[in-house]
Amino acid sequence: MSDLGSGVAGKPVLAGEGLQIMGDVKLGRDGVIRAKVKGNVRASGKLVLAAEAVVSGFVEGQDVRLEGRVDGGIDGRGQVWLGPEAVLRTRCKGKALRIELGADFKGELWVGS
Amino acid sequence: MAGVIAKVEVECPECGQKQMESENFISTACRGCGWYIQATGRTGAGRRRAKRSVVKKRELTCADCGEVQMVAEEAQSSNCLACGRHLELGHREIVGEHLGNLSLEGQLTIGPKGNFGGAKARAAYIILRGRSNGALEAADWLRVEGQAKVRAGATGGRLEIKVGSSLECSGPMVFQEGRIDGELRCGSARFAGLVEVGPKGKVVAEMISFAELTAESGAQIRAQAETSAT
Repeated sequence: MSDLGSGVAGKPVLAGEGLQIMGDVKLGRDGVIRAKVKGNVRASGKLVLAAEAVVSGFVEGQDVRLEGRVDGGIDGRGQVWLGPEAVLRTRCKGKALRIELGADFKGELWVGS
Repeated sequence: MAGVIAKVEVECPECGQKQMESENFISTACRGCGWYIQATGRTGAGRRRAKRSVVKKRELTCADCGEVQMVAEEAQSSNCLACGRHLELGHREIVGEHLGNLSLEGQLTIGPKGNFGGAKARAAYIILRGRSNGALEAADWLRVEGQAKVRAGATGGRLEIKVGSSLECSGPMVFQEGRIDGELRCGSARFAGLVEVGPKGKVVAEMISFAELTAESGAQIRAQAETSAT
């Protein structure tokens, strides 16, 4: 597992564009993912998956904003936001949810406790 | 509705009998002697027309063919000038069992103990507090304000389920948009636009589709879902 949690204190971890990560990713704080991840992503804080981000596994986080693509589903402990270009498959779970016009979602929808 | 027509006193030139006639009268017969009396200012500027109130009209769109026409504001029914369809314009409330189809241009209310037993009820607005065995079609909106059940499905513009209310629908539901502040339990629900689920809203569906969705904190949704192409 790649542990990207030891970045500069107070700043979100940034996994950049063009980067391809094979395996699971764990973030100890807020993070922005622009990379392709062949695995799962777990974040203890807020997580933004930018338009370039592609995650083959599932994504866990406090608040999750998706602009890219996630195939294995999102499990948010707080708010989940799917932007107009987002593609999400399998599952979407959160306490509150916003799916923008244009987002592409198909799967199990679970909102609330 | 015609206004009150003023009267004038007419004296018979033959017998002197006086009688009241409409101020617009052209001719009359004396009620005393039967003499034929002609009005002096029969035509021209001296004769005033009776004042008639202007009939207020409203626009009506035929539910079948979409033809737009004007009907009197107070009219309770009309026929479409294009397709001949009978249009019932008033409101209707079902408080008991109702058999037979309904098609209204106004509002249909199904009361808490009401049951629509026909095959299909259509109205511009539907307030649902009771049950419906038949399909409901609300051209503008369908509002659920009680513990409601629909067996054959519902379609329309906007679906609203108020706080504390619930809708259980066995058949398919197809709406343009929805606001769920109560509880919705259904097989399949398809919304062409936005679905909003309020903080006390609950949706349990086998399948729900929408173009966009907002579920506020506190809302509950359990469903298979997909976004619809726009």
